[in-house]
Amino acid sequence: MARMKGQAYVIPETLIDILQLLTFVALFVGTFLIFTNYNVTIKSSLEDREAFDFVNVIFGDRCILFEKDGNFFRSIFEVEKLRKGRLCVNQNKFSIKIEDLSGNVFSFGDCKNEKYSIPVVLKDNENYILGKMVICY
Amino acid sequence: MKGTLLTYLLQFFSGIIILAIILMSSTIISYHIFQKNWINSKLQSEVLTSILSSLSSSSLDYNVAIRVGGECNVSILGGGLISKIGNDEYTTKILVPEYIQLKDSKSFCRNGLLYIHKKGDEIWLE
Repeated sequence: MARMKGQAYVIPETLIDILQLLTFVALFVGTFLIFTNYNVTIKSSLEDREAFDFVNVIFGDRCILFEKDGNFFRSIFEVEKLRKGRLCVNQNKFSIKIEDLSGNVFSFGDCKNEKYSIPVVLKDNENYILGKMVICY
Repeated sequence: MKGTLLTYLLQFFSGIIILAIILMSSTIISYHIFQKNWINSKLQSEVLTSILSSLSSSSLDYNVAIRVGGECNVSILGGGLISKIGNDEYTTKILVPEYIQLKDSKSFCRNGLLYIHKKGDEIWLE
């Protein structure tokens, strides 16, 4: 098929223009996406972060901490206070279980799915007993 | 002429394709800007909430300065921490013992610094 003059010279120039524009747009979008794709990894950490905050607050909870001369001893829990069964943290997402080597177990909430356990010390009268605190959610 | 008509048709369709690409890319760009602001305000809110929780678990008094730069629209309201960055804001519940009182307050951010004060059983922003 014989080509006309317009087909021979105008079409390739138009195609080059189109390709230039397409390449420019693709490069622009691609470059932008490179700088914006970093941020998806932090989405699932909220629950763990809250759990760590909760543990931190429990470690300083005056309602169960051992106290002497007005000083509270962080992460040393008093068995007498634990027996009262009351935490001073108002939340219903997490539950904890504190147990020591002599067999005492204190549960706050229904501890079904154990996630983390942290070593703690329990003070029973004059004895300091090693134990662990388990957090469930 | 046949060649000219084909050229016009090609230009017309290529124009439509380019318009579609521009619209699509601007949608993607705005989505990412919104998402980035949302994620950053979420991150800032979570980090500050953790710091407040840690401070509340101690029996000592504290004055803490945190460098937050230009993004400094943070407030405590009704037991939650509200962080606003750009067009998005995120609220996180602050986990503190019952005896700690979180005072409703807003950061003033002098020189890009956010101040957290803890005195006795009270915590507030400045």
